Amino acid sequence: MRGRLLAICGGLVGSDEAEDIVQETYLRARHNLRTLRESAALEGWVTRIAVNLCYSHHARGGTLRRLLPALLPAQAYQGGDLGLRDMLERLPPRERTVTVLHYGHGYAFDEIARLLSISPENARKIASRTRRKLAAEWRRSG
Amino acid sequence: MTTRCELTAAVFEAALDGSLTDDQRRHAETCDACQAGLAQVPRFDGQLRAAAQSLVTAPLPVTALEAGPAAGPRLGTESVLRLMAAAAIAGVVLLAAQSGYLRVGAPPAAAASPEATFRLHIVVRNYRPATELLEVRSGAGAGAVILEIPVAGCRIAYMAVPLGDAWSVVFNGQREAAGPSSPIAGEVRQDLSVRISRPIATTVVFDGVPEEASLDADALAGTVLSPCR
Repeated sequence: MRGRLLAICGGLVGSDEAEDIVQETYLRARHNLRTLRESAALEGWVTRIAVNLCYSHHARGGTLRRLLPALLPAQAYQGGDLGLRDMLERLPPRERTVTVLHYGHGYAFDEIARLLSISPENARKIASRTRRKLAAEWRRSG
Repeated sequence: MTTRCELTAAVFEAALDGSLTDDQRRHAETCDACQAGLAQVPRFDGQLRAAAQSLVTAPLPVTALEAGPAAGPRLGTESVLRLMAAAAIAGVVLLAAQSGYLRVGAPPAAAASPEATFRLHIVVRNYRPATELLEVRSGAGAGAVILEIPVAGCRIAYMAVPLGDAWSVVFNGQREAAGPSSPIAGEVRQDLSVRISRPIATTVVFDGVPEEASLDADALAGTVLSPCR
């Protein structure tokens, strides 16, 4: 489960932050284990904690860390625009989490809202604002 | 060859938001630059989707959506109520201890000093201090907000510092005058229970009279208060 959590969190906030998030996830899960009623739901429950932590994560060294991907060789991936991926990686955790959940994982806004315990309208606003921001940057860079 | 048009940016943004007007649409039909701008929207969306998908290396388990509220930063109602109670009790404990009326746990070795101060540290989330509290006492630097809650015989100031999505709130209380303890517990209870009822306390540290003690919010909820002698 740890590898999967690291992969999920890496996509949502970046691999640098994912390690800390997963560590914090385990601590919270252990502390709140008694609130879990169905043991079969453990993985989903823990994942949800991790996704919530990604969403509310306050990146350490924020600006520098967000700029770092631009200085590092991009990972190979097929299709799409490499610049746009860089822009996604530089987003603040909250915007990146919602954007990757929606456009990457394909979750609808009401599903994101349930995952993050926010309103669907809020999820929609964050995604829309981020899309506008990325589009403006994308046009400038294009 | 495509010429530049000053409307292209607005046309692109409107198309992105799905708010393209008939005028903009008609204009784009006769303007190469704006037509190109319109064509960029689906291209951008496709590339955004591809870029976001490239960041996904593992799917979320299907049970993530079915699981109950996460034990993350946003706590469930039950936890909130429990912690609200803990925070309210903490306020009563601290101020009552300050007044000399109540102590936590075993009888203390020494009586409270009139000059003693207490410090209560609570991390709260989803909190808007400016709308909740009585008075902004002084302009604070670096995003900190210092507020004061007037309570009879006691001066309580607290400083709220934003920590990402949370606020770190430090309460500092000091008796205003030396002398015999005044029976302020009831008043304080009412006052503080109003002020601390909304935030979610995750950490409560009591650093006060007559000895330093650390009290976890969960542990505090079950604390039995005993009158001081």
